[in-house]
Amino acid sequence: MKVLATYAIKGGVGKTSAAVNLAHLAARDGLRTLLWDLDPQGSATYLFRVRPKVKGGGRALVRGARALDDAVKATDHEGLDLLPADFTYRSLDLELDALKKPTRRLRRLLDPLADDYDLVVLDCPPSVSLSSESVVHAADLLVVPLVPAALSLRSYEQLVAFLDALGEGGHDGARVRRPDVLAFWSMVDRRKKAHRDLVAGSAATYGTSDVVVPNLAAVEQMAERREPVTASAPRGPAAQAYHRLWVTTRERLGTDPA
Amino acid sequence: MAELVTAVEAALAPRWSVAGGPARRTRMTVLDTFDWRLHRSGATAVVTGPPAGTRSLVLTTPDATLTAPLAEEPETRLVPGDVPPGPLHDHLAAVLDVRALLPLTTVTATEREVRVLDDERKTVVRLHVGADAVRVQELKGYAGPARAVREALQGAGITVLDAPDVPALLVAAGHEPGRLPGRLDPAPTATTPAPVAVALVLRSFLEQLEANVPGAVADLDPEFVHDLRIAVRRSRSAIKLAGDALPADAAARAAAELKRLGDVTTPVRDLDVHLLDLPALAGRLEAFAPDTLDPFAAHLARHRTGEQRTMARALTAARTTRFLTWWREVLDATVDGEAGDAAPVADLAAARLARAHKRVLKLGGAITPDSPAEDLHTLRKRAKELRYTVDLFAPVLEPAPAKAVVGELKGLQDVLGAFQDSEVQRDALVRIAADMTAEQTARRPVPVTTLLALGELAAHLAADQTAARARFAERFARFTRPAVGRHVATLTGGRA
Repeated sequence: MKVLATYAIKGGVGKTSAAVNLAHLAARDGLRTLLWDLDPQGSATYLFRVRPKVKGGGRALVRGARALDDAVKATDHEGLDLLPADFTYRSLDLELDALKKPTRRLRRLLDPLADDYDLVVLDCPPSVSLSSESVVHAADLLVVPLVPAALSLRSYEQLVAFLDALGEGGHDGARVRRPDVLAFWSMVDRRKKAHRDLVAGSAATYGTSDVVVPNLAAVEQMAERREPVTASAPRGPAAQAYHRLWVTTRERLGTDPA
Repeated sequence: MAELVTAVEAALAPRWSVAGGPARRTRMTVLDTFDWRLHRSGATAVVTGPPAGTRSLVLTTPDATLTAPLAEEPETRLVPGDVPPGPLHDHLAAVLDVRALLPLTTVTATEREVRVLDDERKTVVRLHVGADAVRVQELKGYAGPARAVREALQGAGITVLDAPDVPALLVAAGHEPGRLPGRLDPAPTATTPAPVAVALVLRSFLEQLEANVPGAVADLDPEFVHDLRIAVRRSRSAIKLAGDALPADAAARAAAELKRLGDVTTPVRDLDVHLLDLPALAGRLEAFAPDTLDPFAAHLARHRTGEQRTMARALTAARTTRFLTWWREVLDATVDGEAGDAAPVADLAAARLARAHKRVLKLGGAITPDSPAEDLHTLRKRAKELRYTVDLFAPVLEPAPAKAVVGELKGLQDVLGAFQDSEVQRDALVRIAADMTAEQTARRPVPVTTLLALGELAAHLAADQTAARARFAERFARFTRPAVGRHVATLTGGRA
């Protein structure tokens, strides 16, 4: 079982869009996929029309009082299940902090699912926190969307520094295994020279991938249609961009299609 | 179907809204092993999906329903290796062991999918509406809605299935789920004339033999050859033990032809045993890694391909077909014919059982620590004959003492089997190593490490033989204790 997390320090950069579409494409490729919406806002949960409620809340899950599997819901897409968001996830840091080895907790909760799923996608809230450390420890790959702005690259540098610091010793002093990082450009408007220049110049300097997800209405309309754009408009440019992102993600994970 | 869809919508309104999908053709193939392992474990397996689309294997057990995609439709068989790693693969591997799932019947139906929606228009239950029944597909995390929908439909008088009615499909296709070939029909009793009883038993062995030929020829799984050989062995043993109850020339011809069938299946079975035993053998290596035996495995597999072809030709040859047809006619004629003044089978059973038991006691009692290995091999044959005698006459023996004797005999047979099999296997390794060396080429040399690893295994097997020899005296003493003798006396009416 592989774990990928869509992660960014800033919000509104396309994490949930990436998580939802990557999860859908993975399931379509035959991988048994679970998407865990860790964001208390519950956007991914809303997109899949699932109620944002987990019995016992985040506390029950984190403390093991409720098995993750008991909270999982089938989505309308074959091979794709969802662990819904819950508003109590806003206190996840506090719940983790009360436990021993909190940064390892998420991975330990996911391990029993290895027989049931080939891929777990974590849609993470934007933050730098104990939950983030726990996600970093659990993930094999961080998929990081960057919007074409100079501050975005600064945030990316901060993220890389954060990961490096975790490698030296995290919250509980233990070194955190550094996952692979796949940074891609999100919400790009190719009509803008500034966007084009930023995208073109970043690969050499920052190691960003060449995957570009354009700023398209189809992506914004996901919230109205309440399904991944790779399902509602599979041949459109937005879906094709996410498909390229999925191909790159799959290569980095070393996951062959089923 | 359209009427049923309307009835479903009416039954679920207004609590739920539904969204209908197009009608789809579904082709479903039911599978089980030749010996009904899934049926006997309370499980069913079907390959289902659109006729030209993605096919899935659905395994339903008393505890769960597991699904896995299949790369291709199983034309003749499906083995655990055809299923992606996961719970379904693991369950199949545990239940099937070396057997394959065989397609037993295929049905095509048209179904319309109806999705039951909650107030977020999320699908909470999937219904598959057929001609006269509705299949309810529960979705993960939505057990409550599935239950409620099921109740609502049943309350409206609609036939609801949670899964296809596999037993009914099998019966409709002419199968008898759970029935194994070789049933005694009719079963002899103690007063059945001996020739009739012997012919009935031999006929059941013949049914078992014939039933396993197609699977052996098609190489569906190794158990077909194994079970075919068991039927041959039991038939040969029955003829040897009680063939004088049959016409003399018939018994002689059958004995010769059955020996031939045993001989033509021996090479494939021997190779199968080596291949099946390979993981255990590899696990015994101490000086070499398990993959040192890979060239050995490849050699066995290469030879097996050729031997399988030879065996298949022999089993489908006109000579075999003629013999099986003739043998059945002889046995049918004996069963249906006049028995004259033949003694009841109970008398024959008592006499043959007493004789076989005496032989075991005499031979075994003469074995000392200095006796040559051949003496133990001969005792093993006599012990097998005693076992076969009990099996042959089992329908007319008292069950409890028969079971007790077989149980005690098994302990003795186990140690004699371990003794002989380790020698046979050791000799086989030496012979195969010589063959590999003779057949090696510049492009396919035999690594020295492989030969050395085979040597290590031969040493282990020699130690196994010595250990089995050490256990013999105690096992034989156990078999010859008075309690066992009393059971035999009960079965033989005091002749033992």
